[in-house]
Amino acid sequence: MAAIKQLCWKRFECEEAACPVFGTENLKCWTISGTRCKGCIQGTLSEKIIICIDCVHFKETVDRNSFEEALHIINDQFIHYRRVVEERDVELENICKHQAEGISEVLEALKRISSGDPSVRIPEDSPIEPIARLKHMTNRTAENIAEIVDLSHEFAMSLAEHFDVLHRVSEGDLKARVSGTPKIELLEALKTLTNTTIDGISKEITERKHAERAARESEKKYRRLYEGSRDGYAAVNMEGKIIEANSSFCEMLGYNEIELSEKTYHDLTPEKWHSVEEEILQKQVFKRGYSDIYEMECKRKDGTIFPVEIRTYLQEEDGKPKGMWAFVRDVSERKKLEAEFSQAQKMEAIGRLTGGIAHDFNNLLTAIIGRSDLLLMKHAESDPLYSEVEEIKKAGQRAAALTRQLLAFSRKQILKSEILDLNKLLAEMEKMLKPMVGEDIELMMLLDPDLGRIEADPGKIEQIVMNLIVNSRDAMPNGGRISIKTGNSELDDAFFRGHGIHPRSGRYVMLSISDTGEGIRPDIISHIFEPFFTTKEKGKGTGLGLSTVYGIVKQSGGHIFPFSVPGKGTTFKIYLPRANGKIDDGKKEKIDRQGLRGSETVLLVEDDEMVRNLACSILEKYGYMVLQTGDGNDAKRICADFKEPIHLLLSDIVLPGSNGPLIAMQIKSERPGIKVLFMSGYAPESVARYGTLDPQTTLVEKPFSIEGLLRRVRERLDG
Amino acid sequence: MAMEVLNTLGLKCPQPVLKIAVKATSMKPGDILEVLGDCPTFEKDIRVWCQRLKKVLLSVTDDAGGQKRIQIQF
Repeated sequence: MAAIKQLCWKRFECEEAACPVFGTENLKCWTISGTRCKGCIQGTLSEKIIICIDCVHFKETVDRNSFEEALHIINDQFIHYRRVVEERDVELENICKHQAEGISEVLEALKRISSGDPSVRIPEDSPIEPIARLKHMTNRTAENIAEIVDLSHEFAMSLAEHFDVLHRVSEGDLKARVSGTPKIELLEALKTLTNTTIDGISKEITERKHAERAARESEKKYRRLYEGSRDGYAAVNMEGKIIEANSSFCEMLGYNEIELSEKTYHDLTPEKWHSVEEEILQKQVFKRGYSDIYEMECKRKDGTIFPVEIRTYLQEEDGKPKGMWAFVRDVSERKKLEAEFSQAQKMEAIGRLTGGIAHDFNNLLTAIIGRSDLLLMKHAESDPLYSEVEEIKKAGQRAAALTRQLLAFSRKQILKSEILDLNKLLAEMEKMLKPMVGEDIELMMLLDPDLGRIEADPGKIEQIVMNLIVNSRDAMPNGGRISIKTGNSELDDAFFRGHGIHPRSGRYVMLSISDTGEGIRPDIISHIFEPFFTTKEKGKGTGLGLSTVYGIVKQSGGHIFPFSVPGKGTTFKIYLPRANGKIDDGKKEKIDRQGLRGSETVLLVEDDEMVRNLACSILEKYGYMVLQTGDGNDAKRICADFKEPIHLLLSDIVLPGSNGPLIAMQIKSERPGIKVLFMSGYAPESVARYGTLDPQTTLVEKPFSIEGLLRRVRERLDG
Repeated sequence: MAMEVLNTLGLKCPQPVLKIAVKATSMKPGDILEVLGDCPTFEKDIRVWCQRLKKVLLSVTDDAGGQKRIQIQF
């Protein structure tokens, strides 16, 4: 390179030390880019060419070589720039392609997002940073939208479930609860709140339902009590007007509710009770709020009066009397039953009394008749004393017959019960009854062919029928009809309670005897079974007929009820318990009428000295050897001490502190061969189990005759 | 036993579920609800709803154009 004739920095006395030419000796400033000519920085060579062309230093210094050199430099630069431009073109083309692809992906993703699918994701790599960033932002946006969508779904699902649960609860499904495990704290809190609220509501509703059910049940119970009660219920206002009444109260008084609402309680009670009732109200109800239970009478619509039992209560509102209400019980039936019970008790008391008297009489009569017999044996019939003693004996026998009837009433006679067919017994009696009732009276027999069996003493049943038929006949002096009916009956507790009798429900055989006679007056019907009660003329009846019937029926475990309408007739219905056994064949022991004498040893146990002495005298007179005592324990001692055979134990059934059957059992254990014969006037309750003896058991009924005693003794010893 | 149809075409999820929730209150046990929808998450949403509310998803039918027909028994 040729040296420069003149240096620019020297020529212009330049002080630009930063200029690349400053201080140099051979650099041509027009070929150097970035010079600092006169305070201005000249950038690239092409930029400074125009400046250099106008520059004095260039014009004066440039030469051909310098010019060529400069052109070379410019050409080199042009080539460089063209290459650069070409490279930039390629680069720009790539950029455009990546941009188009990236934007296309982004657009596609946005399209899917906008259609509601935020799950879309695109690759984020791109050589173009804005595109990469755009794609990244698109993905982040999709993620954000997906998160929001997920949240909205979670909220929607939870809302739907809450809605469903609340709807179910509102429909009464108190078990409905929000389930699920929401990820969102707010929803979890809402679930807890909703479920807790439902728990509370559910509890409250359940309690309320229970309370309502209890209230309904209570109301039902109250209604049942109110309407179903046999007691009447009535409420009145302070003027005494009936404002409420249950159906029992209406039925009791014969009014309907509307009729009652027009009545005051004074209208429903006889006037004589008004002052009594006022006094109870003043002294009890208004003072303490209620009354004691008191009895008074009420008046039905038809005017009939009936007894009632009442308790009245005060009804208050805000501490002030508003009215009263009362329970009213019709006690007509109870009063009737009380009267019947009282009657039954009276009959029982009379029975005990007559039984006791008859028993003592029997012993006395036994002695009178027996001694009379002995006296008669000692005197010839021609003897004037004979007929007098005979009269004594006859009077004694009449008294004994009366005593037997009394015993029948008092149910203390010995019944020899057996299984029997009542129809057969009645049929056998028919022939006997017809002549007895006479031609003016028609006797009808209506017997149930399927009639059950009974267990009874046939002789006593005959006595019942006879007594009732005789009464019926006497009640129809101008003729009429007597009907005898039989049938099977099932009697329940209600039947017995209706008759004021202790219930003994079961199967019974019914015997009814009806007549078309004059009937029995209501005022005397409760007395007809009492001993010595008679409506017959003096001398025509003993007054013991119906009481005997009553006693036999009762002792046979049966019941008797009279029904009578004066002027129309009377019916006696007798119910006897049905028995299951077979009918006894009726074979009776044939009495051997051979000689009544004997030589056997008899142990006589009888506490009544008169009877004992009489029996002893009779037996000894007829050849027997008699060991006697009045005490059961003494009898056992005699048995132990006496070394010879004892053939017969003749014992009273009733003994002080013991009884005949017990003594017999104890003696038989020591002397198994000994035979036993009992004597008795009655079967007292103390030995009730002997009240009905086996038909085969031999018994001497007191009072006995000599022949009667001897025959029984002989039969037993020979049997 | 009745069958009813609920059209949720054009509705974006979760709107169909909310519509079904409201409709459910008038459905009786045994009734069938047929729901039409075209939202991309329609089937998934209905499946989740049935599972959570213990309803029986009877069938899912793909109709043309991204539409689905789902039967639910109550």
